[in-house]
Amino acid sequence: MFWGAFKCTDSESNIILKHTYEYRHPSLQRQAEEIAAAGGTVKMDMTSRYLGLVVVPGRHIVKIEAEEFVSQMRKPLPSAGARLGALAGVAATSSTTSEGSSVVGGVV
Amino acid sequence: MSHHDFHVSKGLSINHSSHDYAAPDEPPPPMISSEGVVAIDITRKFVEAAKTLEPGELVKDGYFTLFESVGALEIMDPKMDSGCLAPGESLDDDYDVARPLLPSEVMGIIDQLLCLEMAWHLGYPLSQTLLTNVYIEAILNPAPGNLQEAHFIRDPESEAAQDSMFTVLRAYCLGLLKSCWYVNERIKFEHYYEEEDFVTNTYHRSLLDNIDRDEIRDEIMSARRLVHSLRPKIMDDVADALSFRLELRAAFLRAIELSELRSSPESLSLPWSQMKAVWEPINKSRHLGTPVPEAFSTKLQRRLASTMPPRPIVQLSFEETYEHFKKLFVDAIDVLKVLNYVDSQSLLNFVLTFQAQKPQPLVYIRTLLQNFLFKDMVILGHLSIRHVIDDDLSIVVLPCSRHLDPANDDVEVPHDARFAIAHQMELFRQRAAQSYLDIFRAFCQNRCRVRRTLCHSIQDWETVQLDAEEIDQLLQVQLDEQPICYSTTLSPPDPNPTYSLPLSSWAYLYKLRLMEWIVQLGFELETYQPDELPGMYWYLSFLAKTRAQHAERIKGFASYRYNELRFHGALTPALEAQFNRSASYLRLTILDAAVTWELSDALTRLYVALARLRCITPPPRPYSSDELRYDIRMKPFSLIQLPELPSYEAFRRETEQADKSTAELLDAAQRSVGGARRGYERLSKMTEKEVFTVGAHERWVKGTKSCLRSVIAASIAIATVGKIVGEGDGGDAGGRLVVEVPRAEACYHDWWIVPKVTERK
Repeated sequence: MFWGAFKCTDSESNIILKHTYEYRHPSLQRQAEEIAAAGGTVKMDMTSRYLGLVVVPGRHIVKIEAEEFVSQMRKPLPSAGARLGALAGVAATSSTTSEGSSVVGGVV
Repeated sequence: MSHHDFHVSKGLSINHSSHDYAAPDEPPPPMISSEGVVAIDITRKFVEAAKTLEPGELVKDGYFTLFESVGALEIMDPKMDSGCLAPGESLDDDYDVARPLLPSEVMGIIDQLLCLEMAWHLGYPLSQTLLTNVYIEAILNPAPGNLQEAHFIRDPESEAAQDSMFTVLRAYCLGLLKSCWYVNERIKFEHYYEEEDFVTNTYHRSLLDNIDRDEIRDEIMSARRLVHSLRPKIMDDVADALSFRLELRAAFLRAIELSELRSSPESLSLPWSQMKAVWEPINKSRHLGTPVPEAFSTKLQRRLASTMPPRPIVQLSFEETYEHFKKLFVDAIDVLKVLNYVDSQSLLNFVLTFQAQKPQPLVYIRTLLQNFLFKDMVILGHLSIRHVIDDDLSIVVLPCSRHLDPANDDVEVPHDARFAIAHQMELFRQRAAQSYLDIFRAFCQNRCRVRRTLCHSIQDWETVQLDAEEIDQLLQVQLDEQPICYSTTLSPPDPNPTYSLPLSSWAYLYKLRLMEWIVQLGFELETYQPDELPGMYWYLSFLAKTRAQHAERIKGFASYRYNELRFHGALTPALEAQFNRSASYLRLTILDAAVTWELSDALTRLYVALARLRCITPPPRPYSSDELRYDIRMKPFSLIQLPELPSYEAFRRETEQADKSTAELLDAAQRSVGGARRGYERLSKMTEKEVFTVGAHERWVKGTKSCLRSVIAASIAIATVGKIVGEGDGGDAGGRLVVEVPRAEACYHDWWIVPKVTERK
C-alpha cells in the first residue's frame, strides 16, 4: 500500500504521489514465526518505509482510497470530477488483518 | 532544495558551497489507523473520471511541475522499485542470524566487511556496502539504546548470546560501526563534494553514535581475550587471524581518538603504524576464512529509508582492498607530518605534493588534512592565521620590513605612523586571509574540483590585489617610502622610479601561480585536445615568464632594502637570516618559473613542428571557429586584467611562429630543453630548506626527477623530428614519423605531455 499526497494523474489513472510511504503486510514467513512464538493469534504492524515521489502505473492499481477527517465529512457530491479536485491525500487505512490487499499500487 | 547549510564547513569555506544532497525532507509517517480519519474507497469513481480525460491530458496539483516528476520512482518497475518482488521471491531474507558460525566463517564475514568498508571509503553509499550485511543491519535496526542492546542477538538470556563466535563477530562489528561513525562525522564537517567524493547518507541508521567508544574498545579487548582462551579448541593460526582483525579495529578507534588532537606527529602516528603492521598478517591469513555470501543481500536495501532505486552491492576484491587500506595507513602517517610547521611555504608545498599523489589520498585523509590545517581557525593547532600570513609575507615580499614589525601593535598613539601601519596591515589580513587559506583548502579536494575552484579563485585574487594596492598606497605615505628604480637580471632597469607595492605584489604573485596551476592541471586532467597543446604550453610559458619578471621586481626592491639597512649598519643576524630566507625563496620561484617556461617553449615548438609535418592534425570541427574555441578555452582568464589575456591574433601568431622554419623551431626547442634540463638538475640537488619542502622533500624530489625525465624525453623527441626534417627530402617527412601523444597518466610527469616520436621502420 502506498500512502502519499496526490499530485497528478492522467487518462490511464497513472498516479503521482508525493511524500509517499510504503506499507506492507509482514511476510508470511514472519507471520508464521510470530504466531509460533506467541502461541496463538497475534497483532502485527505493517512495515513501513519512506519512498518520496512515486508514480504508480494505472494498470497495477487495485484500489484507491481517499482520507477524510471525520469532523469535516460532507455528504458525497454527485460529480466525481469535483471530488477529485477536493482530495488532499490518496490512501488506505486498514491495519491488522491481511488478505485482499487493499493497496494502491504494487501487488505482491 | 532546502538544505544549503547541510555541508558548510565550520572553518573557512571555499567560495561556493558544495553540491547539495537532497536529503529527504520527509513528513513524519502517518498514523495509519486513527479514530479521526476515515478512508473512502474511490477506486471506481477515480478510474471512471480519469477515463474521461483525453490522452495526454493531466489533472494535477497547481504547484506540482512535471519537471519534478522526472525523479519519481516507478512502482513495479524492478529497476526503480526496490520493493518489487520477482515471482516466487520472498520479501525478507531468510537468513537466521542465530545460526551457529565456525571461526573460519566469522573470518570470512569479517574479510568481506573489510572489502565493503573500503568500498564505502572509495565513495559508494552504505546501502551498497556495509548495510547489506545481515549482522550489521540486525545490530543497527532497531536502534540500540545502549551497549547491551547493540547485538544481533537481542535476547541476552538466550543461548545464542553466550556463543563465543557471536561475541567475536559482534565485537568486530561494534568497532567497525563506531569507527565509521567517526569517519562519517569528520568528512561531513570538512569540505568535500557529496556523491563525487563520498556519500555520507546513513539512511537513518545511527552507526552507534550514542554508544561510548571506550566501552566498545573494552568489548574488543575482551573478545580478544576470549579468542585467546579458546586456543586449544580452535587452531592457532585461525585464532591469531581473528585476534589481528580485532586488533585492527581497536587501533583504528585509537587512531581516530588521537587525530582529534593536533600535537606531535610522533605520538599520533603510533596506532596508524600499528594498523599498518597488523595489516600484513591479516592479508596473509585470509585464506583461512570461509566466505558466507548469504550473509550479504541487497534485499536489506528495501528496509532503508531510501528514495533510491535498487542498486547492486559494490564488491571490491580483497587484493584491491589490501592495496587501498595499505595506502590509507601510509597516507595517514604521512599526513600527520603536516603538524610540524617550519614555514608557510613548506606548508604549502606539503599540501601541494601530498595532494598530487596518484592515486590521490582517500577522502577521509583529505578531510583529516583539512582538520589539521583549519580546525577552530587555529592553523595546525597552535598557529594564528596572522602568524602564517605574516610568515608568508616576510618570505615572499617583506623580509625585515616595518610592515610586519610586531612592535607596531603596541603603539597606542593614533597619529603615530606605526599605529596606522598596524591598522592597515590588519585590514589587509582580514581582506586576504580567506583567499589565502582557501588555496590550501582548494588543494584538499579532488583534482577536478581543484582546477574548477582555482578558476573562481583567480577572480577573487584580482580584487584582493586591487584592494591590497590601495592599502599599499596608504602605507607608502605612512612609511614615507621613496620610489626607486629597481634593477633586475631579466630586464633593463625601468627608468621611471616606482614604489614597491609589497602587498599587491604578494597577491599578484599568488594570482599568477594559480593561473599557472590551472593550465597545468588542465594537462593532468586531459582537458586539452592534442592539437591544443602547443597553444596551451605557449600560454603557460607566457604566465611563467610574467611570474619570473614579477619575482625579479620583488627581488629588486628587497635587495634595495637590504643594501639600505646594511649601509646604515642596522643588519642584525636575525634580520640577515630573514633576508636570506626571502632571497632563497625568490631565487627558487624564479628558477621554477624559468624551467617551466623553457620546457613549455620547447614543447610548443615541438608540437608546432609536428603540426606542420601533419603528424598531429586537428579533427574536423565544422561548427566552430578557432577564435570562438579560443574564447571558450580561455574563459577563466579572460576577466583577468593583469596579465591581460592575449588577443586571439597575438596568441595564434606567437604560437605558430610562422616566420620561423621548422628547422629553426626545433633548434630553438633543443636549446630550451637544454636550459630546462640544467634548471631541473639544479633544483633536484637543492636542499629542503632551499626549496621550502621541509617535511615533504622526498615527494618533491620525486616530482622534480619526473620533470627531468620529461625533459630528457622531450629532448629525444625533438632530436628525432629534427633529424627527419634535416634529411629534408621535401616530400612527406611527417609520414616517416610515428607520433603518439600519450595520456597524462602514461607520461613521466602528468603536467608535461611529451609526445613519443619514433621513426617509422
